[in-house]
Order: sequence, then structure tokens, then C-alpha cells
Amino acid sequence: MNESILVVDDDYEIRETLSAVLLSESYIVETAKNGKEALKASETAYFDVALIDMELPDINGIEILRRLKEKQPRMVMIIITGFASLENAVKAVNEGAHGYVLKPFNVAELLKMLRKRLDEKAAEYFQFRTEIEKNTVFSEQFKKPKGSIFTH
Amino acid sequence: MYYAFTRIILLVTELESKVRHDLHLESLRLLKDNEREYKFTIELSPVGIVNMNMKGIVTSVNAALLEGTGYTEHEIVGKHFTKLKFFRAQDIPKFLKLYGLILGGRTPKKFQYAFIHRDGTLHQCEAFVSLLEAGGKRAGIQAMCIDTTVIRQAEQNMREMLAKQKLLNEKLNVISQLTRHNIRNKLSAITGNIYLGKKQLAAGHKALEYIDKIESSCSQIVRILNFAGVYEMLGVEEAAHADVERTLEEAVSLFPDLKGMRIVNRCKGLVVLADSLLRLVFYHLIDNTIKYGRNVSQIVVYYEEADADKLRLVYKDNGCGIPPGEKSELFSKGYVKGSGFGLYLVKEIMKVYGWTIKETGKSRQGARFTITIPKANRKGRINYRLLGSENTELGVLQELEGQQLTHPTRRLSPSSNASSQHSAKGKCSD
Repeated sequence: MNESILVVDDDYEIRETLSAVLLSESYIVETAKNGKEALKASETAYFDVALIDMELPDINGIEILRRLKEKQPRMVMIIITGFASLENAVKAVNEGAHGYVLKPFNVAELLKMLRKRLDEKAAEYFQFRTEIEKNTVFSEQFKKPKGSIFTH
Repeated sequence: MYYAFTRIILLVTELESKVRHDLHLESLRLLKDNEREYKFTIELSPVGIVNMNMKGIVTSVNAALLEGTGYTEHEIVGKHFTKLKFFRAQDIPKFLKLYGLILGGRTPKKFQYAFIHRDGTLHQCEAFVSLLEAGGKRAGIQAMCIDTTVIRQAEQNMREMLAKQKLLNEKLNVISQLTRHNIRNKLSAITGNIYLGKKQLAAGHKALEYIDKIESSCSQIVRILNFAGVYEMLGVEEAAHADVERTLEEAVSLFPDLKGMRIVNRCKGLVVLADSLLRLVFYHLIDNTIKYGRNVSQIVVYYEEADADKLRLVYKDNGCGIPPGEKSELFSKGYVKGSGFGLYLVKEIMKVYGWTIKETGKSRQGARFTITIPKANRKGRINYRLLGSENTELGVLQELEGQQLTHPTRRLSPSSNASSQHSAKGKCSD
């Protein structure tokens, strides 16, 4: 299944360009022009990744990050910011962002980062599933009646 | 015998009487001299002086007061102070209150008031009133007045000018930031479309060459924008005590890919007086190593006390180093490699801090940048401190300076070892 990406940026051209680039890489893309739209979108659909501009007109980028994280904790969040806002990028990473890209972004690097983060997330999930399954097997064995062990 | 004795007594008495007379004359002369000097001082004083008797009648004024008010001596002397024309009616109750205080034996504090010059203009004044005493008795009241109109006006002008300047700076900042922000957005759209365009073209297509040139120009524009953004911030931010180990960690965390390099951070315990641009200093040094170091496997940052009033912060890598011929131009704007802004900015930041930076490495043995930090800055504030046990001195330092240590990062917790290391696969890699 193709991964879905939410692009949050107030600049129409950036939304359009990023959509085109991501669609060309076979991602499913949805866009939001502000924080409010982004939060609304996260209520109706699940996203693997959110690309969030730090300087949105309505809600601060870090605040959106927090709220999206509450709604969809497994979502990979990547911040898009200007060089002058490096301080904010550091803050965003501290708040749980999985990375950041500087505007104007190098598309190849952005796609590389996206893939890397998604693969890491998938690996984490796979590990999590394996552990859960192991525990389930163990607990099911543990639940077997003791008598059955001693019958042999 | 008796005659001789009487004569001696008469002579002594006569002598005593003469001495007394001479002393009296001398005292009178001294008194007159003092009085003349006093009057002379008062007359030449640039401060306006009014003398009054205990009833509040003006007995004398000096030239400065006449000049300051525009009135003649005849119009002031002999009048009760409440009848003086240069006082405003609404201030009289205040003056009467002060007069009452003086009669009650108290000395009022310096006060400010406005008066009307003979030409009708309103002047600001600062005055001090005190009791005059002679022979232990109350002899009168003296008021000393300084016309502060010019000073006040200058202060007001200065305030207005500063406010205007502040507004202009703010406008300029907003305009430049907005412009940069918008240019970045448009450049992002360009680079995105370049990527899409390239994807549509077959390898070796002639158009790819032109597209690459457009891409290269875009990169140059970005560098110029970045330089402008940082340059605008130089010396603006208030310096605070920054933990160098953490600042370096933060700079490292800004690189998505360290290309397999190991960063050895031996700056634990070093706190320096700097702003957030210190992070950028490390950022540019690391950026230069990545871009031009060639096969660098390790960067080491450490500090050493040069002598009692200097500290050296050393950044070195094990790359190809800087050729001797390029060292003198290394920190110049437009240095042959890259955009020519990175190390130039580093030098400019150092200038603002009052630190110095030199490239002290040997060619082919790696680059080595030595930052020398003097113990105190130009304002006498301590530039660096070496903290001993974990955070025990931090509180003391904060109290001493009344500041917060800059800890902008929580994710990058301080290492428990003497040096913390990062690699491309470590916590700082993206």
C-alpha cells in the first residue's frame, strides 16, 4: 500500500509543487494551507507523514506538531523551515519532529529523508509486532492448564 | 618701682587694645572680602539665584536669573515671590507649601516646575531651595534654578529619534525577513519543478545542462539569502552564558548526514558568553569540513587554558587541511571555495564577541581552527567559565550574572563521559 503524506504550507506554489513531486514518487498526497485545515484533515484520514511549514498563518508549527502527535502518534513529522529559523527547527526536533528540511529544499534530499524515516518507522513497527506476537505466544503457553504439562 | 610697674601695665594694655583693634579691622576686611567673593560667585554663576527674606520678599537676584526669565532686576527685587510674573498661577500653591516647609525648619528636595519667560515661551526648570543662616539665626531663603528646557528638549528629541530608529529597524527587519521568506518559497517551487522537469528528460538530454545551471544559480541565491539573514542578526541578540558542549551538539544535529564522520566533543564544563550564533560558528566549521575536508573521519573540538586570562577553543579535523597559500584569504568574503560567506561570517561573529579565530593547522594534516577567548569582554563581563562538578556551579553562575544558561535543546542530553561522540549513525544524525 502506498504511504500517505499531508503537506501543510500556506504557499500555494509549494503545496502544488510538493504534491506533484510526491505524487510522481507514488505517494498519496493531501494538502492543507493552514494549521486548522491540517488538524481537520487528520481527523478524517490517517497519514504516514506530515510535512509542516514552521511559519503558518494561524497556528505555530510547533503547536501543530504537538496536536497532530496527540491525534496520530505514529505519524512521521518533518518540519520545513527557513535557514534563519534554525532555532525553531531545533525546538521542533525537541518537540518530537523526526527531521527538518530547509527552504528552498533539495527535492532529492527531501525524498531521501522521507524514505529513510518511513523505513525506520516500518522497522520499528515490525519489531513491535514481533515482540507482541512473541508475548502472545508465551502468554498463551502460560495459560495452558498445568495438568496438561504433567500428563506426559 | 611702682611707676615702672604701672608703665608696663599701661604698655601691655595699650598693646592689647591695638592688637584687638587690628584683629577687628582684619576680621572686617576678611568679611568684606568674603562678601565680595560671595557676591562675585553668585553674580557669575550660570545657575539662576534668588535671595529672599524670611517674609518671602525678593532681596536680590543674579544675572543668570534675569537672563533666564527675561525680566529686569527692578521687576523682581522687592516683590513677594508669589507675585513674580514668570511663575504660573497653578504652581503658587506648591511654592507656598515649600515655603511653609522651610519656615518649619525643613529642607525640601530638588523639584521641577515650569515658568513663563518674558517672551511668552514656556521653560522647564529644576530648583533647589534652602534656608540661609547668619550667626546661627535665619537670615533668608535662597532658591537656585537651572533652566532645563534645552536638556529636556534634547532628551525628548533623542527619545523620539530612538523610537523612530527602532520603528525603522523593525520595518526593515520585517521587510527583509518577509522578502527572504517569500523568495525561499518561490525558490522551493523552482527547485521542485526542476526536479520534475529533469525526471521527464532522458539522460544526456541537452536541456539538462541548462537546468543544472538554473539549479546552480538557485543555490547561489540561497547562500546569499542565508548570509543576509545571519548578518542581520550580528550583535543584535543579548549575550548569555552558553554551554559549549550542548551548543556543539546542537550544531551537529543540524546536519542530516555526517558522511560517516565521528565528532568528538570535549567541551564539557565550558560555559562562554555568547548568543545563538555560536551554534552557527560550529555549523559553518563542520559544513566546511564536510564539503572540503576530503576523507575526514573525525572532528575533535576541545578547549585549553592558554594562560590566566585566555582560553583556546580548538576545532580540528583529519582531512586534507588548508594549503598555506589559501590561509590568508580563508576568512575573506568571496573566498575561492564555496559561497565565500561561511568563514567570513564566522570571523564577523568572532569580532562581535571580541574573540579571535585563526587557522593553525598544517596542510595535509587536517584543518585546525583556534578560537582565542579573552577572560573578560569589552564591558568587563566574564567571557568564559570552567565548571567543575556536574551543574553545581551553574546555579551560582546564573545568580552571579542574573541570567539563564542557554539550554535550548532537551533532546541532546549531556553525556556522562568526559567527551560525547556523534557519528552519522548516532543520535545526531537524521
